[in-house]
Amino acid sequence: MNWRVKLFTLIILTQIIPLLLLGVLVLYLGFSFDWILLALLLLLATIFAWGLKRYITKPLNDLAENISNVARGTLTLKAKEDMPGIFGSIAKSLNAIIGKLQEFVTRTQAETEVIVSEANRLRMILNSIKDGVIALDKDKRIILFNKAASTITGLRIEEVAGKHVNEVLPLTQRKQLILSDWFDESKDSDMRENVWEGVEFKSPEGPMVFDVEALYVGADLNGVRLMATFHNRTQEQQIEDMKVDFVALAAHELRTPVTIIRGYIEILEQEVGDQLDPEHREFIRRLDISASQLAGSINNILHVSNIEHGELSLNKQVANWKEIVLTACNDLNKKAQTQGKKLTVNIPDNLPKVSVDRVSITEVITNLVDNAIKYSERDKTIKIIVRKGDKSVVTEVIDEGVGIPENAMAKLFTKFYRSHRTRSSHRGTGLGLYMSRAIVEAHGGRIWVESKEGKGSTFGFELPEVDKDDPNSNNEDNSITRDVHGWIRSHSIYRS
Amino acid sequence: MPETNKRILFIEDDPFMVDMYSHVIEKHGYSVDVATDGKEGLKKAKTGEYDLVLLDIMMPEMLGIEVLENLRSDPDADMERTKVVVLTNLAQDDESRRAMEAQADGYLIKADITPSKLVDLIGQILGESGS
Repeated sequence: MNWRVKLFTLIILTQIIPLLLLGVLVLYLGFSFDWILLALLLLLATIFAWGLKRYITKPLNDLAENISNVARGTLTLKAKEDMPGIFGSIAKSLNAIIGKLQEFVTRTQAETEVIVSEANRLRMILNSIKDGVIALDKDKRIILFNKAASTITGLRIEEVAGKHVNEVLPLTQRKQLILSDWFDESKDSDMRENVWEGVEFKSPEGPMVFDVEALYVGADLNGVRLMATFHNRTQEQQIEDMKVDFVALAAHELRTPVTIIRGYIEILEQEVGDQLDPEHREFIRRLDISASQLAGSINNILHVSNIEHGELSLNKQVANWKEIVLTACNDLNKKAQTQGKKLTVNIPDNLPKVSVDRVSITEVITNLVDNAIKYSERDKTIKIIVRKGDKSVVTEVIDEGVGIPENAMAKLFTKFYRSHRTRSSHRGTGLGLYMSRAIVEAHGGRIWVESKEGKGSTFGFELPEVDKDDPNSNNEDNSITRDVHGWIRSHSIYRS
Repeated sequence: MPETNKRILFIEDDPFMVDMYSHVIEKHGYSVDVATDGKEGLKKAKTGEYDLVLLDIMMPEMLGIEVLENLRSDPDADMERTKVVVLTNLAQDDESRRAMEAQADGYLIKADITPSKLVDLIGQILGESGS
């Protein structure tokens, strides 16, 4: 039934009929008209009040409650849609809004769950990485420090969060603060990457060694400017140090017997060499070569031990590079010739002066050329080319030898590295290139290799030319004469 | 072999080293006196009878470097004409530096030097022609 019909019926039943009955009663009993009017007004007021409550106040109250429910976030209670008149439409609209809100809330909740689980997953991945991961903001403050970073360094996340990287995580290499310095260097670039090996960090538990990789982004990436990962290599380093120390100790013990062997070989050669037949003289010569090689290997090992302990000290003197290279190549030429290989040297005259430790740098030339001879076949040529570089002198050793496989290139200059192939076919300690790099770098230079398997290799190194204004470019005491076997005070040498 | 009146004191504890170097040095006409530990060596060197002291470092009783420092700082030691050359297998820089600071006349690494090269250098230091 329509609400209008219902209302009409209600009015007939409750108002009109009693009114008619009242009229009949009044006429019969003879009340005055004033009384009748008053009663009628009262009746109308009652009807109005009842109608007001039933059709306006109550629906309004109900709607108000519904709205405040929605405001409180209760979206489960719906408004009654059978309310009279306009209120029914309002209730319908309100329910539609509630429906939309419910839909929105459900969707948002689902999306939030996805985001939260994504964040959790990322955090879990970040924290399960065994390497330390950190991020810095534009002021070099730490804004991310994963669990491994904390475990490795012994620093708690609360301790480092928001702190300047140098304050809590000073990572150094050759006394340079790598992350901070590189951050400054990278300021003008959009994106830059770098890798550092053997980075030092002094943790409360003792010195540590890391390999660090970093990425710098020019534009703020959600507040991140620099991201870095660091791999803890302390234990490996300790094992490596022990290996070197042990080998050095053993090598040192070998020096005395080798000295005696070499000494007596020479004495025998000089004192009885003439009396021996050629075959036995050849035996002695082979003994001599082998003993010298042994002495050389022992020296290399001790040299590496010095490098490892940061005791590679150079006695640099301003020198004529051409003369040094020619002297070194003179000895090597004999070796090449006996093996049927050719050595050519090409050095211009007007080279800038370099400041070098003659003994060490000769070792570098010897190492590179010796390798080139070793890995070249008979009748091949080894070229030594020296040229002027950019404020430097570049020396290259070019061979037509077996070349170096691509996967071996990166490890070539590391300690004890020997490729599987060369290990079986060529003798060596795997220290020559490692030492050469250390020596060249200690001179402020750099060393590199270019190679194609089967085509040959080029090993090059660059030494900075002498800065004429640098008072330290010649720091050697001129009264000392140095040689591979040690030194002698010049004034001690008798001059007649 | 050339005759010379130059006297050399060899302070060295390893008998093989002593024999080997003495053999070659004496062959070149020098007279060689041997001390087999640091203390004995110091005592002998202080007499000032030698033109050259060849000094090992790793020795019992007293290290070669201490012998050297003692010789150079003792005002009573008659060291006017005595040159001191360290002959060792210790190739570390700090040993060499310490010897240099203690006014050694030379620092030679045994493993890097053959007996004939040593005699050459002795000849240069003592003003002989060498061989």
